[in-house]
Amino acid sequence: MFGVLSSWILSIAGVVSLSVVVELMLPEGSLNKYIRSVFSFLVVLVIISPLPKLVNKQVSFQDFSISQTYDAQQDYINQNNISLAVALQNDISSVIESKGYQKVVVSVSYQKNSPEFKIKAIYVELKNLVITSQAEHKNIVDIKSEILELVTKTANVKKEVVNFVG
Amino acid sequence: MKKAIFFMLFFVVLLSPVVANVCSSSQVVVYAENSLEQELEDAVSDGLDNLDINKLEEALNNSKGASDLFGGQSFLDKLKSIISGDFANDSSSVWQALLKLVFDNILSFLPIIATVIAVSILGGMVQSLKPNLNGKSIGSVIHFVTYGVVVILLFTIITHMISLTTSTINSIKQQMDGVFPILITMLTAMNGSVSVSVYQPAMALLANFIINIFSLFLMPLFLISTILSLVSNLSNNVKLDKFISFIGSLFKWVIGIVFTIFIGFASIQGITAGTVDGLSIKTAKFAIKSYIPLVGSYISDGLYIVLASSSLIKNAVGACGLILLFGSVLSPIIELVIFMLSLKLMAGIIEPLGDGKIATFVSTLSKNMTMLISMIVAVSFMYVTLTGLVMCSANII
Repeated sequence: MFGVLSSWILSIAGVVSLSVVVELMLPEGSLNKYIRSVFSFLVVLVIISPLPKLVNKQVSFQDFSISQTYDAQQDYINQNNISLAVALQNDISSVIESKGYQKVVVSVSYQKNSPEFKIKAIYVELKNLVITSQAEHKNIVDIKSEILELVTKTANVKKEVVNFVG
Repeated sequence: MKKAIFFMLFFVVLLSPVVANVCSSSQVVVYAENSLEQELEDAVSDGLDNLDINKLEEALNNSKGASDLFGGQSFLDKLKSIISGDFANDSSSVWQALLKLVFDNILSFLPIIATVIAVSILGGMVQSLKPNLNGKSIGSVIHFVTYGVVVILLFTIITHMISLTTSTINSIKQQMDGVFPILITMLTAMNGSVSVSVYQPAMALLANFIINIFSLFLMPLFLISTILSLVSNLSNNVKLDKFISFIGSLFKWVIGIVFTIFIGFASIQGITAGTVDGLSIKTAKFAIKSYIPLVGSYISDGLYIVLASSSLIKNAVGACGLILLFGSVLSPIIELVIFMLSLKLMAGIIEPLGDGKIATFVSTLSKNMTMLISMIVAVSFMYVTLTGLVMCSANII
């Protein structure tokens, strides 16, 4: 692209400068105006010379392709996913604790190598469960269903994602 | 009177637990906010540790104007100071640097201005004092010589201006290479998938396609226009003024179309995408808060602190990138503007005293210099708009 343009410009400038020099050198005479008109024709010819190439599509536009895209930095994303998972675990367990069920262990597993934070599964461990006086239910089935609801609401996930361990 | 005092005492006694309660609860709130702030700071500094900003530090070191504006700080230091909220309010020093830049440039262009004016006035005087024998061709030889000297003098500066513009556009491209991946990272980290899908192609388009149009198509158009205006004023016979005006309007239309379409699409799509992402984040937050009304706002903010730290880093990187851009673009633009104005001044002084064609040539050159200025301004404006859109979209708060 650049080479084509520069050669075109150089030829225009060259023809015009040549015509000026010739005009300076020529003595006055009747032949003068014919020479001038020849040079004017030459200038026009040089100016329109790239048009046929343009029509025949010989000019390449390869320089204008989009070769490079901007991707996210994977290190940051991985670290961010880890801290999101930890924060979500803490959030869920503190919500459960505020309802009166202590020592519930929550662990969040998410999809690795995915650009976004997608929760794969949430494991709730009730092995060391301590039921305080605040708690609404004493029955383990009711407790499970209440905790299930708390977890799904807090993490904004479907019920199938939540698994009870132990 | 006694009754009034009794009532006042009664009220004081009645209100004291309420007041005490309010005070203590506000203390609790303040305590909660402080700890939140601390958590947010920790999350932000963790995030900054994991971020790769070497390209931006490199771009900062390459540009002198920007490192002046940063006050010798590194990019990371400036980021941290912006995040913690202490913007150094040093606008007076910026203005002083600006004034110094302007006067330095005027002084550096003064010798060339004086020489060009002197040469062309001399040419005009010789033209009018020449002996009147076979005068026409001697006159055109004198014009040729004067014109040649003026062209050589001016083209030394114009080649400098061309390399200045090219290097400025390259440096803007380098800054884009540094800033855009970080912004994309932050949007991804905040689950702003719609925004990412809009901005990723827009950024690639701007940094490759549009920059290539500027440096491979518009820059040659400037060269063509300059050389043709040189050639066209060489003699009276071959006039290329209409062709030059064709090149000029081609330049204007290409830059206008690229600019309008890019800004239009980026802002319409970007605003929509940013709103969608912001809304989806907010609805999730709202669901939690409404479900656990009292404690929800304090307890379940851990997740949002992580998200908000990404948001803070995104906006700080955007702001820092814009300061960097401003610093690296300011001095070239001032240099170009002052050169353009001094060309106009030259043309104004030469026109009554000297050669008419030299005056036309100089004023055409000054018109061409606006092409270079508009190239730099257009690229940086598109960059500013895109960065500003990213900063505005998918915000948590």
